Formats: sequence, structure tokens, C-alpha cells
Amino acid sequence: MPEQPRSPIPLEESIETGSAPHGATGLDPIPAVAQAIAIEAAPVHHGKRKLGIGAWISIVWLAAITGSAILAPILPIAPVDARYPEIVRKGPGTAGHILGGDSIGHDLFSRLIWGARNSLTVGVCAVGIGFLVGGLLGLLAGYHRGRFETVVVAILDILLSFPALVLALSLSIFLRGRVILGVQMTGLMTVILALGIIAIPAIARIARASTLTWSQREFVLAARAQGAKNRRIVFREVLPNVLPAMLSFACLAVAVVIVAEAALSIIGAGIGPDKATWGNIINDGRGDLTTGEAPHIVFCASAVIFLTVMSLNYLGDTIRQRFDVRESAI
Amino acid sequence: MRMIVTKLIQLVVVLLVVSFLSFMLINLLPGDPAEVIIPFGTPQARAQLRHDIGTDKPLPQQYAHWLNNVLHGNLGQDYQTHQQASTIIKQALPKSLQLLFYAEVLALLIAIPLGVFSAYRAGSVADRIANLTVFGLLSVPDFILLFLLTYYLGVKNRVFPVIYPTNTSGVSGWFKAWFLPAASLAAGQLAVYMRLLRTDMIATLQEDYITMAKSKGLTNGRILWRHALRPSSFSLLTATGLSVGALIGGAFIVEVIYSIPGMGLTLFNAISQRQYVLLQACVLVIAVGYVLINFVVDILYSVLDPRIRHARAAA
Repeated sequence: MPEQPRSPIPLEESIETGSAPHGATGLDPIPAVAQAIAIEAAPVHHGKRKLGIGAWISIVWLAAITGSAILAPILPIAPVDARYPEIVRKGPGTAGHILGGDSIGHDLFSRLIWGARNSLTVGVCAVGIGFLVGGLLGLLAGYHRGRFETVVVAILDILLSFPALVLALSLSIFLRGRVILGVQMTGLMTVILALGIIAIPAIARIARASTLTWSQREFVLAARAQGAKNRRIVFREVLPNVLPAMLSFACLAVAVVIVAEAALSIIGAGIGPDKATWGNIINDGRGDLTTGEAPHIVFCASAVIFLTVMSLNYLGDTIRQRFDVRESAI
Repeated sequence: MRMIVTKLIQLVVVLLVVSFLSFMLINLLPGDPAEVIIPFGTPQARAQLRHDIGTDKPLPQQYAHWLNNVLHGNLGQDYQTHQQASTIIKQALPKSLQLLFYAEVLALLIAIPLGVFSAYRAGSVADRIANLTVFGLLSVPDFILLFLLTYYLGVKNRVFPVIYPTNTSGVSGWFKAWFLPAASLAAGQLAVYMRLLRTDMIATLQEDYITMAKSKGLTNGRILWRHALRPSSFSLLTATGLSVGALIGGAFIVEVIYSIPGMGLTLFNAISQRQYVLLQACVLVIAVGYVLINFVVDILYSVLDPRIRHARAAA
């Protein structure tokens, strides 16, 4: 018979207030923002299982951008590092180069696709790290409670008390070029790890809050009564219910990480100045925007970032509504 | 009262940890300060230097010494330029605060009327358009908005400067100089505020006392602004407080792009010129400010919202 989860306060209370006995103050910054993003953005489909037009546009855009990022090496586009002196600062519509060239003559279209490869890799891998580590921590902390939870929540609170971008920047300087677990950190790995660490506390909080409510449900009690082991309950009973909330948050998180990667590139702490990333394209085109000579460089990259972020936000929102993820769903 | 004492103890612990992490930052960074100061010095000279600046002592002792200095307002002196970090920060911090203030006021000025209106006309075409616009604004990173605004209002039509002007004249000059960065920061905040206010306001408008006010024959304007707004603005207040905290560190990309000599640009320069003492001081000031603001918001929230106060009293 597995022991009952220990709890410093009566369990009913923590369910009713929807918050934990410690740490959670009702003011969690990340959920507050996530909620604000999520409030009634997509049209509500009462009982309907059909996706709206907005969700389809988002899916098509994300599929297109992911597909071309994966297929970049075999697509019939200009080589990423090739320079064409004749298209320097030329706008969209130049013969043979749909979007024209950047300030040193790269083909902007091919640059954007190769940039998608790097930016999406960073977004997905960093959130993947956050999901694995943060999700597991949150799940275990929410299920087992007790001293383990206290320690986890304290660490999360401290990580969250640093402004995210400042922490990401510090981490990215600190990690660059180090050897970790016998691997020399490249620029790409540095940025992924730095942004992944930033993503951990927010995801862990979501997972924990969700686990807290789900693990009080009757079916968990029933499983326990049937003699299921803790590990089985956590992964087979609780996790499938916690996943939708985390999945919807993961979409928002990928969007945030893509923007953060661009921000790091713009201030010169990204994956490397000569690499094709959306942030680097913007950074290289900044000068031509302020002189008014070639604003299309920044605009094209900005449009791609905007559409990707918007699609991810919309999709995350749709997932949330579909599974009706509410923290007080009892 | 007990809640405030517990929170204060928590605050002190978090501040200590934050300060320790900021302190460790400089020790974890690659490169020995002694090598930065005298790149070609003899080992003896370096050892002497380490002794002078105290980096040969054990870490806890260094930390205590550093913390003592910080508490006395001494954030350290740069190894290369010999400038006092506190002097630099004293010049930079007001710039960042001005930007923050401008952006927040701008966001609230637009978000409150918009939120009240779209709650009042919930479900109407105007409400949907407002919601869609705001959803779009949420997906535009601040720096992208800054580029757009800079190009259309600064380069094509020379209404606003394209880069932070070092000297401004008069009040209108001040408003002009800060407008573009403030507006691009305000857009994201505005979206969050408007949505929060709209949701809370819709809930408030369902309450019985609103029906009562209507049946008494009060005008819609009076009901909305005098009766419904205040009870609907708790989340808005919290969000404002939190985003002030977040903007302390989050505005720095905008500062770097617009060349505003605030905390963000100072931090950026400290990193690119490897002035680690200044970097440490910036991170410390930003993080402590962030923690303190969150603390104040937390306390204010529970003072203002009776529901939270009672939930805690019961616990």
C-alpha cells in the first residue's frame, strides 16, 4: 500500500484555493501572462470538434515553415552563404531572387529558410529541455508533495526572480565555449541550453499546478486502491491529463523562445554572427532600415517571426480550449 | 500581519540568494580578473594583484566583503576603466525608469477605455475587431514594432527621431524623444491589460448591484466608470505591477536598438566590453528591483482584494 501523499496543510484547502500551501501566491507571473494571452482569443466552438479557419491557417503556416526548414538542403534555393554582388540591397521582385538580397548580397529568401532551420531548432530543442526537466520536476513535486516539493518550489521561485532575458544573457555568456559532459559547447548548443534553462521554471509551475488538482481526483484514488504503484499512477493516470495544459503552454513557450533567440542575436549573444538566423538577418539589416535604403531586409524577417509567433499563440490557444484546460477544473 | 512577516522573511532569503548568484556570476565567468587587468604580467605580479583585490581569499569571505560593500552603496570599481559601477548606474537607472513610466502610462491610457468599451459591447463587431487587433499585438515582439515605427514615423515621415537624441528641449521634445521606444513597449502591455480588464469587467457587469444601478436609472457611463471599473481592476493592477518588474529587464533590447543610455544599454556594453564588475552590478540592481516590485505587488494585491485576504486568513 503506497503511503498517502504527505501535506503540510489539509488537502481540501489546497484544492479550494487552487494554490499550493507555499510559493504560489496567486501571482505567478508566467501563468498570469499565459492566461492573458489565452483569454478568449479564438472563437469558442461549443461542443464542435471542427477546427476554425484561424487554426488551419496557423497549421498550414507552421507546416510550411517547418517543412522548408527540414528540406532546406535539397530545396532549389540559392546556397546559404553564396553572395551575389548584383542583388545587394535589392528589394523583393529581383529576377531570380524572390525577396531580393541583404546588405552583403545573400539571397534573402534562402537566408530566411536557413534561418528557420536554426530558429526552429532553438525553439523546439529549448522547450524540449524545459518540457522534460520542468515537466518531470513539476509532476513529481505536485504528486509527492512534502519536502521534495518545498525544495523544488524554492528553486523555481529563485530562478523566476531573475528577469528572464537577463538570466538568458548571463547563461549564454557563461556557457559559451565551455566543455559540458565532455561536449564542447557550440553557439547553437549554448543558446539552446540557456533558453532551455529559462523555460524550466515556467513549465514546471504549470505541470505542478495541474498535477496538484488531478492527483486528488477519484480515479487516482481508485488506482491506488487497486494497488497501483506510484510510478504507474504518475505516468499512466496523472500525466495524460496534465499533458494538454503543458502542450498548450509549450506552443506559447516555443513562440517566446523564438523571439528570445532573435533578441539574443540582435544584441550579439546569439548562436554566432555569421549564422543564418532570423535575429541575425534583422540585426544585419538594421542599418539599412534607419538609412531607409533597404527596409525590406528587416521587414521580411520580422514578418516571418510575426507569422510564426502568431500561429503558435493561436494554436496553443486552440489546444487549451479544446481540452478545456482550467486550473480549477474540479 | 503574520502573512506580511512571513513574506518579509521570504523576501530577505530570496534577496540573499539573488545577491549570491550575482556575486557568483563574476567568479563563474571565464577569465581571471588578474589576467584581464595585466595581460602580460609576471605570475608574481598577478599573485600580488589577486591579493590586493581580494580574489585569493576563500569565496564565503569574498562574498561577505562584497555584500558589505553593496549594502553601503559601493557596487565595485571596474578593473579596466576604474569607474565606479554605482556612478554609472546612477546615470542609467533614471533613463530606464522614464522609459518604463512612459510606456506604462501610454498602455493604461489606451487599455482602460478600450477594455471598458469592449466589455460593455461584448460580442459586438467593434469588440471582435478590438480583440483581434489586440491578439495580433500580443504576437508582435517589441523590437519588431520598434523597427516598423522607426521606419514609418522616423525615416519616411520625419516625425520622431530614429535614434535616442542626446539632448532634448522642452516637454514636447521629451515626449517626442521617448515616444517610439515607449510605444513599442506599450503595445504588448496594452494587449495584456485590455484583455484582463475586459474579462473581469464582463464578470462584474453580471453582478446584481449593476442591475440595481441600472434599475435606479443611472446612466451607462456612470455605471461603467463609477460602479464597475474599480471592482474589475484587481487583475489589471497586478498585471501592471508585474510588467513593471518584467520591463526592468525586458526593455533592454529596445534600449539597445534605440541607443537609450539606460540599464539595458549599460548591461549590453558591460558584456561586450567584458566589464564584469559593471555587469555584476547591473544584474544585481535589475534582479533586486524585480524582486522588490513583485513583493510590493503581492502585498498590495492581498490588501486590496478581500477574497485573497480572507483565503489567507483562513489558512
